[in-house]
This record gives sequence, C-alpha cells and structure tokens, in this order.
Amino acid sequence: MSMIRKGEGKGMEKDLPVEPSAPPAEEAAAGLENRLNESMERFRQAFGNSADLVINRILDGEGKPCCANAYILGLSDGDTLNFISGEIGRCLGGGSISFEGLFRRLSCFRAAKDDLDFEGACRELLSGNTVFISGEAERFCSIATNSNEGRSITEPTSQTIIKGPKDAFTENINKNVFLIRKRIKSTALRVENLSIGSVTHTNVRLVYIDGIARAEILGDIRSRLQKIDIDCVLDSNYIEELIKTNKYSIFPSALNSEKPDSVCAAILEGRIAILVDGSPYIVTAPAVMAEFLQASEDYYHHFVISSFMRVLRYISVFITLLVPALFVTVTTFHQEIIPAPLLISIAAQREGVPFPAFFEVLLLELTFEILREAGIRMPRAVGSAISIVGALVLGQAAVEAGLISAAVVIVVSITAIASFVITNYAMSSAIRLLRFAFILFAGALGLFGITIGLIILCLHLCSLKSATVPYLMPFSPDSSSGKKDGMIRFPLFRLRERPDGISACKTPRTSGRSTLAPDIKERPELK
Amino acid sequence: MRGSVLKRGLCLLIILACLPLAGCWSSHEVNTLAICSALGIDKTADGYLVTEQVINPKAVASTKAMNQAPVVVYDGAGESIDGAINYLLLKASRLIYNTHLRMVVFGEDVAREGIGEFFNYFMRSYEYRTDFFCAVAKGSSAKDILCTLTPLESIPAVELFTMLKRSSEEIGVTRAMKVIDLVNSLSSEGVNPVLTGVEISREGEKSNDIDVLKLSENFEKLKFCGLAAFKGDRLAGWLTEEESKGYGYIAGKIKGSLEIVRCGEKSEINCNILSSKAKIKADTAGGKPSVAVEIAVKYAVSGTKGGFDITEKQNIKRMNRALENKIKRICAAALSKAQGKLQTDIFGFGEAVHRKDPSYWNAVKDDWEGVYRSMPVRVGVKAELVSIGEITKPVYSSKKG
Repeated sequence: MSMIRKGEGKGMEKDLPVEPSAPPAEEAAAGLENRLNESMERFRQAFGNSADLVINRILDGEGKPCCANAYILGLSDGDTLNFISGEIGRCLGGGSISFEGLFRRLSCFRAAKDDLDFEGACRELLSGNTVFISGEAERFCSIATNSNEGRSITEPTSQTIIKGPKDAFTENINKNVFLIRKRIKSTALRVENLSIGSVTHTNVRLVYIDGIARAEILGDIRSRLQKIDIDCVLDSNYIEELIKTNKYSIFPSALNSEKPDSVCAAILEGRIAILVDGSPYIVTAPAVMAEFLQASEDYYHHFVISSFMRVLRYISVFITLLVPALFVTVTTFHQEIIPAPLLISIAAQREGVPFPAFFEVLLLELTFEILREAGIRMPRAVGSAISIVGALVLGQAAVEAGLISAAVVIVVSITAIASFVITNYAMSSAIRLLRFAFILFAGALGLFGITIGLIILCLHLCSLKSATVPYLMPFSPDSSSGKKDGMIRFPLFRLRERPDGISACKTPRTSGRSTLAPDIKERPELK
Repeated sequence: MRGSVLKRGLCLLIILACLPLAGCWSSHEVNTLAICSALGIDKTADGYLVTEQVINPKAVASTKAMNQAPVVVYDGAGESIDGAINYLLLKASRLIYNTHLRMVVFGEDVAREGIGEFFNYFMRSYEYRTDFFCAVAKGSSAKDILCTLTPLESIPAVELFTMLKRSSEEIGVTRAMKVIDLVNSLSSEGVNPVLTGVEISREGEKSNDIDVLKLSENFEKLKFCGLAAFKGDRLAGWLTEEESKGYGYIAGKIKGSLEIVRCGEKSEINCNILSSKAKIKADTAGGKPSVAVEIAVKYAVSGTKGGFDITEKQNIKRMNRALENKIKRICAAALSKAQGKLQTDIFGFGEAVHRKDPSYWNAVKDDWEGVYRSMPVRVGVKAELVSIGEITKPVYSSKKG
C-alpha cells in the first residue's frame, strides 16, 4: 500500500493522499466525497489492488475533491499525462468548475469516451487510457492517453529483399495502420476495429478498400472472426488458424507478411488485411496458392526477370517435394530409367553403404530438419557450432566413412536449398513436410506411389478454399486475367484487371475514380 | 465432430500403415545389382554359352586408382538364353541386371544357326531396354570379345557402342543397328538384315588384364570389320569393308565417308562424302524384274595430291565423274557378292518389287532368291561438289618445281 501512495504522490502535485482526510464541509460535499471514494475503491477492488493502478483525486479551487482520474502506470504515455494535468490545473485555476466542464475541456484535445459503464471503464484503463470518475453520479469518462511505446520501424527480418521498400511492420497496431495509410492515401480505405480474446481483449483490425474488396468475402471473414472463441490472441497466426476454411489442411490459407508494400498490394487487389495488436505479421485473405510463390520484389524488377524467378520458384516446389522421393524410387525400383553412366556412378558411391537408399534419404532429410530447427532455436552465440557440425561432421565425414553416399547428400542439399526459394515460410514448411510423405510413398510403391501421392495432393489442393475463393484460383478454375499475374508476371501496363474472384471491382486498375464510385456492382458469381 | 475427425485420422493411419506392408516388393538397391554392359552368346554342344560383361562400379567410378578390372565376365551354359542367365546366379552374388545392356555379340556359329529366337526373347522380356546394338564376332567367340579390355572407355561395351555409332556415321563401313531396326528387317519380306562384324585385332598381348592397358601399343584391340550378311536370321557370309560401303550406298545408309579417287595419272583427290541418298526403283515389265538404284552424293574436297586444279570447271566435272565411277565400282562389288556368292537380298530389292507390283511379288515371293540372283541391277550415281575446303589452289604443288 505504501508503494501506491508513493507513486500517487509523485504523479500529481495537487493530489491529496489516497486515505481520505475529509475536511469539515456541507453534507452534499460529504456525500460526493463518499461516492467518489466508493468508486475509487471499486476500481481498486477490480484490479485487486494492483501496484500499477494509479487513482488520483482532483481538488477544485477550494480544495474540495470534485472528481478522480485513474490510469495504469506504463500503459499511459507520460507526456500526455503531463499535458492533461497541466490542462486540469489551468481549468481549476479559474475557480470552481464542474466535472462536466472539465471533461468537455479535456476532450477537445484527445479522443474521449463518455458515459462508460464500469466494465467499459476497466477496458479503457487496460488500453492505457485515463478514466475520469465523477463524484456527482456514477459516471465514467475516458481520455486517450495510451502510450505508443514499442519497437521502431526496422527492416524486415524474414522477408529480405534486394530492391524495394525496406520498412517492416512492428508489434504496434497503430504504427502498422500508419504504414498502410501512408501508402494508400484514399478515403475508401476502411479500418474496422474488433476485440478478440476473452482474456486478452486483443485489438484486431480489418483493413480493406471499400468498393474493391468483395462484400461476400468481407462478410465471410467478419463472421469467421466473430465466431472465434478463444481466451487469447498473441499472434496473427491465431487468427489465421481460427478462420481457416479447411481447418486440418497443412497448407496456409491466409498469407502473412511483414512487409507493408506487399500487404498494400494485396489490399489494392481487393484482399482484406487483418492486423493483430502485438504481431508484426499482417494476415491477408483470401490467399491463393500462387500468391505463396510470389514475392513483392517481383514487381520491382523487369517483368522478364521476375517471370523467370517465378518459374524458378515453381520448379523449386517440385524439387523440394519430389527429388528425394524420385531418388529413392529410381535407385530402388527403376534403375532402368537412369542413364547408364549415372547409374554406374551412383552404384559406385553406394558400394559399401550399409543402409537402403530409402532409409538413407529419410535419415539425412530428418537430419537436415533437425539442423534447421537447431539453427533457429539455439542461442546466437553458439551459431557457428551448428554449421561446423552440420557441414563437416554430417556431410563430409559421413560420406568419407561410407555411412551414406555422396549422391544422397547432394539430393538433400538441393532439396534444402530449393525449399528456401519458396517465398512464404508457411508454404515452404508445408511442402517440406509433404516431402516425407512422398519419400514414404516412393519407398513403398515406387513411381506408382509417387503418382498416387501427387493425385492425392492435387485433389486436396483443388478442394481447398480460402475465404470463399478456390485455392488454385488462376489455374483452376481457369482465369485468364489471374494468370497474367500467376506463374509469370505480365508487364505492369498489361495488368489492368484485378484478379478474378477476389476483387469486386471490374473497372481497370488504372482509373482510380471509377473504382471508388459508389454504384459499383458485384462481380457475377464464379463459375 | 471430434469423433468423426478421430475416426478419419484412424482410417488414414490404417491406410498409411498398409503402405509398408507392400514390403517394397520388387525393389533392388543399386549395390545389389550386377549391371551388365554386354551380352555374348556362343554355341555349345547342347545349347548356348551366355557371357555377361558385368560392370564393377568400384573400379569404374572410383576416384582412387583401383587394381580391379572395370568389368568382370561371367559365363553360364544352358539350353536357352534365359536358362543360361539364371545359371549365372550360381557364380555371381548379385542380380544380373540387363536393362543397361549396350552391346549384344553373337558368336559366328550361333549366327549361322539363326538369331531370330534371341530377338523373340529380347523383345518379350521386360528386362531389356532394346536400345543396344548387335554385332557378330568374327574369327573368335563372343566370349573372347567380351573379355577384351579397352583403354579409352573403361567399359568395353561402351567403347564398342560408341565406336559402332561413330564409325557408321563417319566411315560407313559398319552399321549401328538398333534392335528395333533389326527386328523390322527380320520380320519383313524382301529384305534381309546385316550386322556389323567385330573381331579382335591380334597385335600382341592378350588384353584381358588391366596391366596390359598400361601399354600404349602392342596389345589386342577390338575392331569392327565390315558387315555380316544374313539370309533370314542366319548368317550367310561376310562382306569386305569395301563391299560393306557399297551396301551402304545402295541401301542409302551412308551418313559420311571418305573416297579417294584418281583424276588423271598422278592426281588423287580425297572426297569427303557429306551425305548420300539412294532411291531403289523396281521394274517388272514383261515378267522380268529389274532394279535401278539412283544414288545422289554430296561431297567436299578435303585434300588433293598431284597438282590437280579443282578450281577449274572442267576439272570439277572430271572429279565428279571419277567419284561417280568409284562409287559405282564399290556398289557393283557389293552387288556381285550379295547376288552371287551369298545369295541374300540385303538391299531390300524385294521390298521395292513388292511395292511396285504386289501381284508379281506374290507370284515370285517363294522363289525370290532365284529371281534375285539373276536380276539386273543398274546403279546410277550423281555426285555433287559442295565445298572445296579452306583454300582454292594447293599451297604447294610438286609440278611447280
């Protein structure tokens, strides 16, 4: 208790200590004071006498308490608090002033909420705002004093680029909205506020462009968000996982990005961005398969070069998925399809290797996954140890010792490298995991098994939907306008239409005014 | 919901658990296979002796110098080729794996008895990729051919394979016959197959020891030697290298060759044949079949001797004439051998007659051999100079002095 008193004392000079030392006054004043004390006690009780809750009484010019304010230390911005207390002092200096007058004066400068109930007032406190408690009646008002404290905007860490904007989202939702607003200076940009999490009450915002985003998709996402029943939302992945259409699918159904430029590009195509307070990863939905193989940088380089990179990424997907499986099947079932000199070379390497190819590949692929995981989890200071152990001990020594064949090391390395070409980490992980399924299929049934696996995979992908949009969108169902920005990127002057099925807007991208006209009709239903 | 998910998961697990039950049936690790590069078939008293040239991967692809021969030759006798191959397993620990076969060599005695049955086997068995070449061993057994090591390619079969391919493209003496071509000519009427002969040029030490390969010369080498003409599936006889070339011109199979022609008394011209096309036209007027072969040859001059000026128009004509005569002579030699001594229609004249006059063909089909023997064949050659090389007049001419 003494701690609180100390804090309070420092907080505002004009304040009296918490313990009431009521001066002799009229009855009304005494009643007001009692009510005020009651309310203050209620807050204290609600927060369980929490050490960081500060409640101060404000005395009028005659030294009588007229109201109280409360805030949570650290959540509120010190400068703003100082400004407010200065303002209060100026108000009171001019003689007696009612609570109403004081609050009206303060709400000129900051966002304010009036007539809150007790629950609302607590929530305001928890958001870092200052709550004013009236003594006249049970009335709570709040003034925004929340602190914008947080990491400054830095370069992206997981989506590095060579060319293009280098800022990244932070954990602060206001800064993130700012980063989007700064890029899209349009009145049609909408920001919707939601609060998700029964305990955390995490701030979640929907950002989209009215008229470009499809109402149907927006409705779908809104209803999914409202249905979320969870105690906490600590990262945007909570949202992503909870609004997924096919909840058990390994494939990500929403794209998350830490780059404002790519989120803005998605919003401009008619997608909806979901911002979660405390997460630097912004989720955009709907997301189609092709999107996970695109990088924002694709649009910052020459279109031929970008197209080449994209084709390369598609090839990499197949390398990651199939090369180990193909190696297993070809060396254990179908040796006849290897060119003779290659077969001889593989045979020579495998001379004296004690494991079957299937086991060898599985073992090394698992080892790679362990190395990768270790590289992420371990403290930075011991980082070099992993590369030494990984490269020298596992790679070279195992081959020299004759435990594994050099060809398998090459296969595993090419798979590992190819998997990192896939721009989205979630997609890359999904494909890397599926690779093991394919190795199993290959080991058991050969090429026949791989074919079965591919058919299953294809059927699964075709069955997926991301917020009402088919997952394989530009390819299946076929969409010519979508394909212009699918496996290859057409030059920007040819990308005049927004992707089919995602955007509601049929007007060309170039004519900004007509895009935002109110009488835009919904695009007809997808075939 | 939860229950159905659990059930579905369980179903998936059961299905996945079934996968390894297949037990990797029919799987073979690469290092449990004896990869065969060549197959040789010889005759024994009561069947065949099948020889397999098995690659020793350790010796072939090792980065360290090995003291092992790159190939090991296994042989096994049996009443049929398949039986003999099975018998090989008694000698070799690894599964004989024939899909990477490069060469099949028939012993001469086997070839004389007929090779048709073997191709029934090669085509039917799933194990053969049928992209190998075939050859007939001349003057030695197929086994001896397979035992001979070669210095340039460590696997002798690969050396034979590339040698055959290259020589048929550059010299025209040999023919790289794919199995499918051979089977086609075996099964069609009016044409008989040819195969290339392979022999061991006995120039010194027997080269079945890798130590011999340390020498630069004076060891036995494998050598191709003209064509073996078949009648049906039986070997009828051998063509010399010149006659083999003649066969190539008539059948239109020459892709490149070199002819040395004499123009005048002292001059010799090297004509590099760049392409050769042949048209076989049959005529059955009056019940007397005759065949006209028109050969069109394009060539470049790659060398002259004796101060022959090839820039003169007159001389170009002379040169063309001389080359045409040379090719005609070669063709005539091939024709007389095939029509006379061997009596086998390797050129496909029968097919030409069949195409021209099917009813006549049906009448003479059974006695085609007799008709063919005395059938007049006219060979017309048209040579065309394409290039005279990098220089026009010779830089040095002995006439000048």
